[in-house]
Amino acid sequence: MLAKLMKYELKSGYILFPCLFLALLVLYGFGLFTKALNLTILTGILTAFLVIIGIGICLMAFIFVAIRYYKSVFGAEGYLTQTLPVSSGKIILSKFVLGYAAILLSYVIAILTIAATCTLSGGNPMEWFKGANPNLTASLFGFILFSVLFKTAAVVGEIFLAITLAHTRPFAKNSILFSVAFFIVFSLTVGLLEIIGIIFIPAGLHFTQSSAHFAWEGMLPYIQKGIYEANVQANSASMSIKQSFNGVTIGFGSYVTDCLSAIVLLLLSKKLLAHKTSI
Amino acid sequence: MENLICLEHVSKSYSKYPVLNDLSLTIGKGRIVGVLGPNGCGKTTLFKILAGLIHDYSGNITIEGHRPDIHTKSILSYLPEKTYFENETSIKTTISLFNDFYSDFDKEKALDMLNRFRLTPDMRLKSMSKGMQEKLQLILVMSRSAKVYLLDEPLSGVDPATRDTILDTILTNYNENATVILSTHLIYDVERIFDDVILMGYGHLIAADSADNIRAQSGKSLDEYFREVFKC
Repeated sequence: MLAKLMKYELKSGYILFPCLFLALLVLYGFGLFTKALNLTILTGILTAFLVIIGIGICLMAFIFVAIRYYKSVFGAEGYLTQTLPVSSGKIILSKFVLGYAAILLSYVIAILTIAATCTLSGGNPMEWFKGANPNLTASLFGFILFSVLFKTAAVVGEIFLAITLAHTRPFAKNSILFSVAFFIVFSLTVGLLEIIGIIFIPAGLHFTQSSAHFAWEGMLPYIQKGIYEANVQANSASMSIKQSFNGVTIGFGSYVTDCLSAIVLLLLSKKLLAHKTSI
Repeated sequence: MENLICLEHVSKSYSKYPVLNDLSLTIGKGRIVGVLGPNGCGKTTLFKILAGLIHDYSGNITIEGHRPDIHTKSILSYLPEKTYFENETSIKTTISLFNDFYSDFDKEKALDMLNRFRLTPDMRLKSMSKGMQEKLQLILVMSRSAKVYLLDEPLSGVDPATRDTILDTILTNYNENATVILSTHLIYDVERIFDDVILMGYGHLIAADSADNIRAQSGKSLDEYFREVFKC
């Protein structure tokens, strides 16, 4: 049933993303053509368009996921979705998987668009990494990639729970307003949990000037050290502190909090959808 | 008569306005039941609760011994008052959706009915009028061999000729062991088909009996009785 739900969810609007990607490719091709003909102004305009669309597509993906969830579960389409003989968990999961995939796809499209605009304006995206330490670069990219994957899952969970909670009895009259308000509250809460996780959970990636490796520490020792050094400096202004860079650890804690947040938010959405909401 | 649907002390309110107030009744198997009442009396709310769309009610509801859940959704064929398909959807997709999700869906029957209503599988909903979309939903709902058909105002907003066609479609296609629950305020057109009648006032039950008993006790047709009860 989950596969069937995803099949029909995919059919209802997600075709937009491949279409946008194709449109961007055509625009890029046209840009290369105008560049070859030395039509500088036209190439500039096309580059600007690509930048706007590239950035806009990520924002649009989040809005699209929210609208799809709202329309298909609580809008007129909800009369069908919620009367199908499937559990609320499967309904939520099908929408989560596709929404999550659509947002990740939008990131890829945005990165490709930025690289494309770079080539149109005469640069070479590969030169960004010239001279960089491959070990450090790979570790940093890996760290960012996982941060984005977990954070995106948490944001989709925040969107789903905000909309679902806004359709329970006390809030249903102003569901759109409450959806936005709840989303802001959940985002702030999850953001706070991320910071706590990064600081206090003792696992992270330790970066030095030449390498990066896993370390059983969060960012708490560095914050304590920073506070201590600031105090020492304040107390003995004349004393110069010799600082040597021994590296810094960036905590993995946000992975844990984002992952747990996504699970909790989706489970709460499922529970509310099954027992508390009305359309 | 074996009971299929039981409602015990069911209440539901929107804000402070009660729509259903301590409603208790039973509906038997194999009956055609008319749920009658003026606009805003709670018919649609009752149907939504039975269909599993509203969860925040008090009281107890069972359909074939189950509270509204996946099982009840699999045996209940619900026609809401709204059209619910996306405009870009084709009739072919709607049929394949029902075929995929409902094991009791008869695709051949649906295609046959489409043909009779002069609808073709390639048509998209955006090219269809609201009336045509309503007919499509009725075809899909009646192509199931369900145990309960829940039809919310299937006759409203259509001309008398179409009304007859819709009634004919319902009567010739429902599973004969099933219960059909149909809400309407166009009583004159349909009263002949009802075995039982549930007459709802604003939030409360006025009568729940067989159509023949109501006619015999009041000495009036259902339509005349309805007009008398709800006279302003």
